[in-house]
Amino acid sequence: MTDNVAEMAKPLADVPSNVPADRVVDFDIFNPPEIDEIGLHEAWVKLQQSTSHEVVWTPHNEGHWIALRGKRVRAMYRDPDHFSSHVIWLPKSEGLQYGLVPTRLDLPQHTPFREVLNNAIGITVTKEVEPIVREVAVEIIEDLAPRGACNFTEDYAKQFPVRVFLKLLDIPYEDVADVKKWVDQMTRPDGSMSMEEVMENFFRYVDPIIDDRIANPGEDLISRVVNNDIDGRPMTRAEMRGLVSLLLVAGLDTVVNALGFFMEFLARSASHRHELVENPKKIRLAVEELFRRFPVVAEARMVKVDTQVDGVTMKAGDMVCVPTILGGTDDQMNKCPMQVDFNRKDTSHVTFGDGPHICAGQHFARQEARVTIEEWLKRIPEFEIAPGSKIQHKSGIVCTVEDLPLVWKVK
Amino acid sequence: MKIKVAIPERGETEIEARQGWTVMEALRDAGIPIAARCGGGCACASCHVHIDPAFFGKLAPVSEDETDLLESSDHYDVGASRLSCQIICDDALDGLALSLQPDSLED
Repeated sequence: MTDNVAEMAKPLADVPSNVPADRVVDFDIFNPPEIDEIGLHEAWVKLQQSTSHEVVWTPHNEGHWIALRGKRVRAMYRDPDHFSSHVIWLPKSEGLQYGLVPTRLDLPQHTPFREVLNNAIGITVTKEVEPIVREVAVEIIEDLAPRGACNFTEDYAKQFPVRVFLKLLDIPYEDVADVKKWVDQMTRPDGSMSMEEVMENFFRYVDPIIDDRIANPGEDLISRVVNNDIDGRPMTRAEMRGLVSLLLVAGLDTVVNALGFFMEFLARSASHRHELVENPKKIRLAVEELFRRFPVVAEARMVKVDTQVDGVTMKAGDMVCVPTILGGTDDQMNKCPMQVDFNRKDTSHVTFGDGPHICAGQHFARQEARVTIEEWLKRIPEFEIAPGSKIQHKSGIVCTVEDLPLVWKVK
Repeated sequence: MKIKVAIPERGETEIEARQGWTVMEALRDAGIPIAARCGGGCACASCHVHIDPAFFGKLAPVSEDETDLLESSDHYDVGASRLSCQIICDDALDGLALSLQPDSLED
């Protein structure tokens, strides 16, 4: 019901003069055609396959371009001089209210903030915290295993990354449901909360925590982030709020959603499960193949200067959706892309984006996925989707599996 | 720190790299055409570089996962090959000289 109201309230934009008629498509990134019938990735790939053009334009969500091919997506992420991060969310009017840091900064302002994030959550820290990540995974899975059934999205995907992050950020578990609600209203809004309200909620929540970690710095991630200088001067409160809120969004969405798609796939394919159960060393690269096949992000860039792309003129200020969803799944990037092949060579994807804003948490995300699959398959090697269930996917800036009821025999 | 980069059929250039970033990131952000198709996760072999002998021994040791990936390259040289996403820039490596490998050029 709410969805319908939101749909009716979203008018279509007029086609601007710089958009040739043959580039116009009917595609709402929050509700792509046929998503319920064919699935999320299939719905996006259908758009990709529907034209030989590399960029198209949609009147939905205030009107924006969409890059359709992985090579083009990668090139745009690597070209901040033409494709600015000044606005990265769609629709543009909401994107202007988005206040996370440093995702909206271009170079050179972006660089010192990125360094703070790299130090907080990069390769080195990721390796150090693996025991904590594994401990949380094991705790949850050992609790689930004797039940013989679960809703994976609720009982694991929404628990695991959250509880890992709570330990790392040192925030209380009671807060999680509220924070997750705000995050979901950013990435898959149902019209009940504007971006401005989401930001207000985040900032009201993180302010007292920031105060505490400045006064009493600890070993946690928030302390490590806020107690940093930027180019020799202290971080401002707005910057601290934006950085900490980014960590919350990243921790409570994204990996959650990727895990849902990974487990839906494994639940449907006994042969793939068996490959990994028989040879757990394959899990590391299998996870890379799963990230290739199931990207979940469709964020955007703002055109900085009038630019010729694929035979069209994109005007300064135009928004371009640069879907990581269409990278690994592009048949020009990978042979038989919709097939999962744990022995695939020369894997190519843009699941974590590219360029200076490439996902700072990518190493962490890979580790969380790997540890989840390792510990799950040790205890629950055989499982399937509960018979009779219809699995729903939801599209947005970050996409997700809504519910994933799984069943398995208990020994 | 400075990195000297030799690019097949294009010659040499020098770039600046910041402490704590990976060599791959420094190359990518300087506009060097490095493929780096997995984005830096030690999951492909398309950020493959050959390190000048003067620096090879100064790098943190290569992991088994990295070696497995490097061995799949036609241009693997056990005394020079590294994945540039696994090398962290540090002032101790200032002047690092390396050459991009043909299997790691952006298409």
